[in-house]
Amino acid sequence: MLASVIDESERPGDWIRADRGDGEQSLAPDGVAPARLLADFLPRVKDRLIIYNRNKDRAHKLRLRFGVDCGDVKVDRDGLLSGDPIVVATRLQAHPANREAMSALSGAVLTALVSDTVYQRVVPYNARGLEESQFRRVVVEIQGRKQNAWLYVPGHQPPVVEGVPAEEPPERGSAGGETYHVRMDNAIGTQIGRNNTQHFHGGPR
Amino acid sequence: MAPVAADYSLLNTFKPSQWSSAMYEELLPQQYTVLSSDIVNSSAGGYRGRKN
Repeated sequence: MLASVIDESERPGDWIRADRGDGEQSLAPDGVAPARLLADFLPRVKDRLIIYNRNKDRAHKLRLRFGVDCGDVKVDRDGLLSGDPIVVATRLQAHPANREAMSALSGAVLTALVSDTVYQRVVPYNARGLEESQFRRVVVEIQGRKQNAWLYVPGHQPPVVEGVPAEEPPERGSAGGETYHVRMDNAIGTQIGRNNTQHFHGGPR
Repeated sequence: MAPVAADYSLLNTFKPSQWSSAMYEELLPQQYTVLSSDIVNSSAGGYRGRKN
């Protein structure tokens, strides 16, 4: 499924794909603008999923969650990948806000939680026609640092999920509002609670 | 106190001009956009390698 969409993308021979069991990490080379990945690649994956799911019952419909980040990645001799973008993209993909968005939108086949780094390279410029209204800000904590991430569901308005601040977005670079805390000591990431607690404080849902 | 002569011979061990471009590519991080994905419902299957 992803292979066929990558084949139709720019510089398909320069992509790197790493199997991760029930998913994968797909690395687009620097020459492929993040705007194209958000505005073209993900919607194309969504369209393929819809076609694939046409004759499937509910239990067998294929739905994908994405986490997206960009930056320096090192590929070693054995093809092992390392670097912050690998960690951040994995955390965003598995983040509870991403899971909740998928649960809230039963008709959506694809959700993505996009890092602020990627968002700032695309949306403020309306690159490929992407607009703020297509994204919803979520405050996450990754590697001990609160940061903005952006929920993006091609073809849908992103739902309100936990971690979405009630107030207007803070200045760029800071992050207020409520947060998820994700422990970073294993490959999956463990949610230990919002605001260091295990219970819900209230706020938008 | 007698001046100590610096030994620069070690520096000659590392001559970037003698490194192959392949070594550079392997050693240096490159810019990528990372899309990490997983299947929500594992019973769906048919994810990898399937061409539609």
